[in-house]
Amino acid sequence: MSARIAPAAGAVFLASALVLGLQIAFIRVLSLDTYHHFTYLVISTALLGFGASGTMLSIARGWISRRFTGVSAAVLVLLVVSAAYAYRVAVVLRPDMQYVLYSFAEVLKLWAHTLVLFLPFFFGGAFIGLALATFHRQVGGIYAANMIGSGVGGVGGVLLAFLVVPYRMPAVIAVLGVAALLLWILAWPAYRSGRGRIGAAAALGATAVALAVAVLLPVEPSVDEYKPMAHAQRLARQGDARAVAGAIGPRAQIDVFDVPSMHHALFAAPTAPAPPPQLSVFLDGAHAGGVFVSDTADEAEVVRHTAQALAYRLVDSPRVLLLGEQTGVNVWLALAHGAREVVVVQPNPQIRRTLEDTEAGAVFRHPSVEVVHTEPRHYLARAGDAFDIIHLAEAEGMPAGSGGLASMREDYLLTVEAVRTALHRLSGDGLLTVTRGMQSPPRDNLRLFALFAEALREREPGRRSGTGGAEAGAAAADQRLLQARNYLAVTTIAAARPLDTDRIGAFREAAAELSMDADYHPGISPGDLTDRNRVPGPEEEAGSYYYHAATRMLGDEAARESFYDGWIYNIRPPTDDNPYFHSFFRWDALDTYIRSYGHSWFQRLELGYAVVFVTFLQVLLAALVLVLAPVLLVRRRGGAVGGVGWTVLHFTAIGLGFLLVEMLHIQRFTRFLGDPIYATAAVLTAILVFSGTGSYLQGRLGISAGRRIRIGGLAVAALALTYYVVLDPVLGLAVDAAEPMRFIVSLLLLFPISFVLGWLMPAGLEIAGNRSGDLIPLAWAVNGVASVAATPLSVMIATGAGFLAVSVLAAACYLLVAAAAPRG
Amino acid sequence: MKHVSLLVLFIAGVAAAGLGQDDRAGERRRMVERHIAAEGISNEAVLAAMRAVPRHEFVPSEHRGRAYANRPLPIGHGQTISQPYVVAYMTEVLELEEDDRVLEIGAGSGYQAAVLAEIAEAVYTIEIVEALARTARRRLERLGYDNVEVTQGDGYFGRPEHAPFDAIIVTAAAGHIPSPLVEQLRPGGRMVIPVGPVYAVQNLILVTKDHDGEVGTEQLLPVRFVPMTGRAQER
Repeated sequence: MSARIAPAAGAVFLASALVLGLQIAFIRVLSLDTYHHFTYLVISTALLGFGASGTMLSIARGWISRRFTGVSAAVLVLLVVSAAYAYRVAVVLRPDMQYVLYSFAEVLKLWAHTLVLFLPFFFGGAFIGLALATFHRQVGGIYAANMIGSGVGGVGGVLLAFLVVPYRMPAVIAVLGVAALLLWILAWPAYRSGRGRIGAAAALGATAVALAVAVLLPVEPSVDEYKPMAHAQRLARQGDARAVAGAIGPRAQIDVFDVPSMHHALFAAPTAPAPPPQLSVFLDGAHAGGVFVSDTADEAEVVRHTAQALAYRLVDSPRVLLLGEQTGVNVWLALAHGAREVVVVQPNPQIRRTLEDTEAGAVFRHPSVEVVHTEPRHYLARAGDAFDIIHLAEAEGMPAGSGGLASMREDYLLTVEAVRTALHRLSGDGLLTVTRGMQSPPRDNLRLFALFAEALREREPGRRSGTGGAEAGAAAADQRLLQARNYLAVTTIAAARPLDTDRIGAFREAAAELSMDADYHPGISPGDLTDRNRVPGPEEEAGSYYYHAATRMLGDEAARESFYDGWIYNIRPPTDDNPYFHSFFRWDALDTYIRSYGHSWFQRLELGYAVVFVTFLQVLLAALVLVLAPVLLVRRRGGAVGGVGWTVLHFTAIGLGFLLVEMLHIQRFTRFLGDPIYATAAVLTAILVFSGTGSYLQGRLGISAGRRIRIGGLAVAALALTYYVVLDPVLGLAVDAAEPMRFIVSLLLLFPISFVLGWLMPAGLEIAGNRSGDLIPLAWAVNGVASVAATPLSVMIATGAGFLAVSVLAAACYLLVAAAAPRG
Repeated sequence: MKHVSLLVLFIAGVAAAGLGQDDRAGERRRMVERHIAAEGISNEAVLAAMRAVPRHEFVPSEHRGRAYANRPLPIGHGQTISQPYVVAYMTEVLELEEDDRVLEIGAGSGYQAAVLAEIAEAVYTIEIVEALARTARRRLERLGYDNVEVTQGDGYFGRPEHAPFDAIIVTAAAGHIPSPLVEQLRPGGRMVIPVGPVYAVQNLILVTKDHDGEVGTEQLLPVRFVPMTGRAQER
């Protein structure tokens, strides 16, 4: 068979773009319809599809090679059809998510649902694997098309999310598959004569018709009945609510409803006045808060009676920084307390734009309010004037409890480094404040106290001149902390300088007025404790667990460490190296869980971690099947015995290593660039496109594939470790630069490591292909499975041991690759 | 002939229903013994009420087989009937007397109202979802609970025309304690309310108002008012 490489590479480019774009489409639609847990499922399912496709190619290699043109076209047809229809079928099979953990029927539905979503990735992987195996002498070009197509598909998917509702995205993206089929047909002469021509025309026609039907058929939005927005929709159907505004985008679908029976009031005291009329904001169907329909702060009197109001009662006419405020309720809080200026830092500009079109948009138009759209951590890192109150609004809210993969997400605002930076931006009498709902047993608020204390202990004097906070230096943490709670939430405050008796008196008075109990202030003793809101505490001591914890955490290092070690949850302060504030799980506390909670121990577990762990176990199981099957088969055929071990090792290591490197750099550069969506898309695209470029050019270096692997492996290992050490200081130099310059800096820094990353797959495939045609599908399967394993593994390592450990593991993978590279 | 057939069917239906109820009384006794009394609920009036109310009448037909398992069940419209232990626990916390007037927010299936009605003199219950309010009203009437009044509407503002109440029970997750409900609680009264994010873990809070009108709260235990794991209550 002779084929033209250019259209074939074009087909691979488009199929790869389809697969990546489809991942984004599925993540969007499943986040809206169901829960964010599904984003994780989509990534794992996609990678598993790739792994399984390699296994299938290994097993059926002979059969496929005899029917190559028919099979390859059929795979593309199936890719288009499954991409266009998978979501529609999956909706029908969707389980009752609240019952999945106890009903086997629902588990079966979940498996069926996952299998349907898996299909397009399986066919996409099969097509790319076929192309790599067929063009193994020009593998660099095909792999480059795969990588660059993936990068373009990622960005394209993000942009499409601004234009098309999530339900329609899969069918729209599937259009790329028809173009890929057309190019594939053009690449092969066999499709241009006799039966081949008829078959090709039939495939194209059938695909186009199927796609047209998918695009034109109406799709009914289907938000899970337990999601808060489904409740608003139910009330709308009975005339008790109405949708007033909305927007679509890659971050989330925004829906604004007027639901008179929803009464959002921050963390108001039981005796607070009722909140004013409000609109309810939903992000991807989850309730993001209420927006008061008020023109003046007086109409929002309720905010003066909330736990958040505590810090505002201690500062006159403050200049306020609200980090991560979404709906503007805290802006009313600041204005109601006479704020002379309020700076709102909000990552998602679409929320403000959507609200401005409603009757609740007045808050953002207030003359004292300035809204900045960037990541809070990025705003903090930039130079600027001091604030009297810095309010971590993003960390606010009721923790969702032991549930949700949200617990496994990185949070760069709640790290020792971030809090230290915030402290540097306080004025002389400034306060850093956060209010967060209570959990039982306590964990979030203990960790916040630990975090503030650690940041105060580590605080370096005078990094930024001209701020009172900097002049204050690093006095003892115990003189600068305050903590109080009402029945619902805990407010933790760190002061720029030691608190004097007048301020402590004002704090106690304000706490009493707000029906709160003070758990910590400098000089507190058991006699100072009040009992307005009773919560559990240690049996042998006075006071709540919060009081007990605060006194231990402010003790000497031994007392502190002993307290951390003894608490059932991990409440150590997170750092930039281990930025998992919301992850509290401890392996070593598992037996205590089981002893303490009996048969309900699993519910008490942090489910986010449990889901990741279970996913990892499933992946290991799948890996055994998907990798062992082709290995055994290839060995039985006996054609390539010598290369099997090396193939498994090489492609496992680069599959694992690539995702680890990718994850590390997405984290770092997202923080630097400020916008998580654009930054992730840009970083991912840069890595994939530069890798693709490296892949294309590595074959022209004029050195053997083995040598390319040795050089590439050593270079990636060295760069991964070097980046870990130097990246943050280097990025720090450019943090104040304009956005386009920061993007250019990011691209320049990402280029070297991405470029060499792209060498290792095609050079490996070249060696494998030269040894035996059997080894290429095996390599594809092994690489896919290793990539699947890397997703949960990287999260588990990062939460347990930090990013340094992830960097070391990534470097180790590439050192192994270099060491194992064949000589000659 | 048609009328005779209908009559036979009706009699057979009544007999079957009566037989079913008797059969299930045993299940109720076992449920109370194993999952409620054994877990620390000791108020005799509450235990008797839990033995008396036919929970299977309050769940959709497809879930009736599991009506006496100690777990919440879906009742449609994104709502659930609470786990029996939670119903008993919340009822016990209210320390009801025979002549008490109780306000319930979130009627749902009407099961909690029926349990309250077994103990208290009058129960006023509010449900926001029209279809649920209608079904609960009919069901409670059919089962003879004539001391329960079901209304459809926003529970946040309570029923000021019937206030003050000796006890208030909120059976839907609330973001905060509504001050109108606190106002409608009589001095010396008790309110129990799950506070926290909807469809996640909430803290069950006891609100007390002393005879001087001073309001205090006590955190009781974490609960989950939707059945994510099949066991709503976690201790």
